[in-house]
Amino acid sequence: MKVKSYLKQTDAGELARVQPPADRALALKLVTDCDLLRLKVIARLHGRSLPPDVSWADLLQEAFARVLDGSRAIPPGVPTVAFLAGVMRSIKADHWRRRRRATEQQPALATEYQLLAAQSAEACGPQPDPERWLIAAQQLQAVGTLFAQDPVALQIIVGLGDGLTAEEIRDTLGMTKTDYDSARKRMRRALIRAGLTLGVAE
Amino acid sequence: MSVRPDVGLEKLIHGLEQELLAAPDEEFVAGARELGMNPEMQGSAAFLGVKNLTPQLLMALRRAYQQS
Repeated sequence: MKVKSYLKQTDAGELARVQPPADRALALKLVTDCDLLRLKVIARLHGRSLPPDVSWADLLQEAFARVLDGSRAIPPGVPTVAFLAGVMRSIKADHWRRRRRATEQQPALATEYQLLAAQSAEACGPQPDPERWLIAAQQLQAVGTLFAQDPVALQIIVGLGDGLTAEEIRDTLGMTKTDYDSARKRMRRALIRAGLTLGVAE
Repeated sequence: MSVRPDVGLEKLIHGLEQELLAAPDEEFVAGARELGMNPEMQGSAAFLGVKNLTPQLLMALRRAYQQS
């Protein structure tokens, strides 16, 4: 088989010696297997708003690498998984910042998009590049599809996208805490399935 | 959503991330099982892309499949 022969040509010994950061973190008991599942689902969620040349797996391994090499130290009292999720968020923001700088050097490509963006952008920082805008619009639609069979979850999604807290969403929708918690559980189930499924998640 | 897509998506991801951080471990194990995976098994597909997969190996596989 071609893949096998290619791997034979590649220095297989060299590959075997490199241990992925997530494996090292597991070996050091920094995380558990269950933490890894949780982080995978969170990384795939963040993957929805990554530039196309960065994968969710890259994002997750990079977050582990930064914690393991000491460039990001876990503050006392902060759970490891929550901290790693924050590191992923920060790495993602760095990627987009770098891309924005690159886009700003190509103003002609962005002219048409900027006209549209200026009409709808709120006072929330610099405008994104056109690619980010497009990816976000597509991914919002994809998340909508994920919860298409659950109108209550869809309403909660809109509330979260508007930056509302759980309490504000409950008040806005007139939901009881029980109904809200039940919807949250359904949402988590859908997210976990999408995050652990093989291939491309919806 | 009343904000531009990129801002809305980031807020949504943040909100959903908080949900996932608060979820009990059992929900992740149950989610894997529903998909026919056994996370307690060595080499379980549930950990694909996380464990036992070096970036170098992933890149080598990508190249190999592109060439095949």
